[in-house]
Amino acid sequence: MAGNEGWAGRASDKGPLEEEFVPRRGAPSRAAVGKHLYIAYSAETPHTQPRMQTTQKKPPPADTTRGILDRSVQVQIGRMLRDVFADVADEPVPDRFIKLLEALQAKEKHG
Amino acid sequence: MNTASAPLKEAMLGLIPNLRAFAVSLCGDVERADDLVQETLLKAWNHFDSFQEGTNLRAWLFTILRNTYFSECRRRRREVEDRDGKRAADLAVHPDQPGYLDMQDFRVALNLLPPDQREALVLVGAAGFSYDEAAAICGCAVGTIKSRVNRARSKLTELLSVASPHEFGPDAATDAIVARTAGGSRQF
Repeated sequence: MAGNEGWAGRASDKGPLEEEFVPRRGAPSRAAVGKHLYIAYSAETPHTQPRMQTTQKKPPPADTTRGILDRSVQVQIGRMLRDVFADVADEPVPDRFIKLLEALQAKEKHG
Repeated sequence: MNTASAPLKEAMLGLIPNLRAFAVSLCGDVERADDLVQETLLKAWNHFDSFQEGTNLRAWLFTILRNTYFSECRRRRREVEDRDGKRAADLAVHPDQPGYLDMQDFRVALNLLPPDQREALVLVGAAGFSYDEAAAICGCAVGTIKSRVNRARSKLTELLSVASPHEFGPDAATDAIVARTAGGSRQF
């Protein structure tokens, strides 16, 4: 049962089918989210069972399903949080700030 | 000071996009965010001698911005509460566009968080600061930041799960449309 701690695999980097999920001890809990997300979606992947060192073959009990759903929500939250931030951070610097800094600099030079 | 101003200007210019994003996350309003950024830049420029050389300029600017914001908030507290009340109502009635909807729900939910939790979550989860840096910016203990981030995540999970219980399942889009066009029976 290695790999309970977390999985150093990012589902977005490689396809979920041919990646190597390397169990990593002490990985941040965010990495563990990836594992659960993967389990949550593995029911939809038609072929090749992944090389997962998990004994969970039967459908998980309701509590676990709830947990998986929550973790899937956590992944979404992380992504949307970065997206919301990037929405603004990716905009060009408004003119008013360029002008402001130029004015401050000019004032410094002449004052 | 003359010699220092050119690199300072460049460094500040490069940090403006991040400052704006942080400001919007704090106050939820682009116009007000830009006023905050402007005030931050002015304060930073005028008090640059209090910046400790070799420390993190980005963290320093974030600190000024959040302090400016929260002292302003203390003056306009009532207004902020009114706004949040209105946003809570927005969460229940959103447009029927599945792709857009997720993000819109998320924005609303994010703005429903208590300001200290939202700030901690954004600093760590979006702006890429470490817990230590975030604690320094907010002037609190690292443990406080960690617990704020955790509480923010739980609260968001709760808000988003309640707002859209099927959103993350296999048939999210279909279910969402069905649920929403079925009428306003899904109250919470």
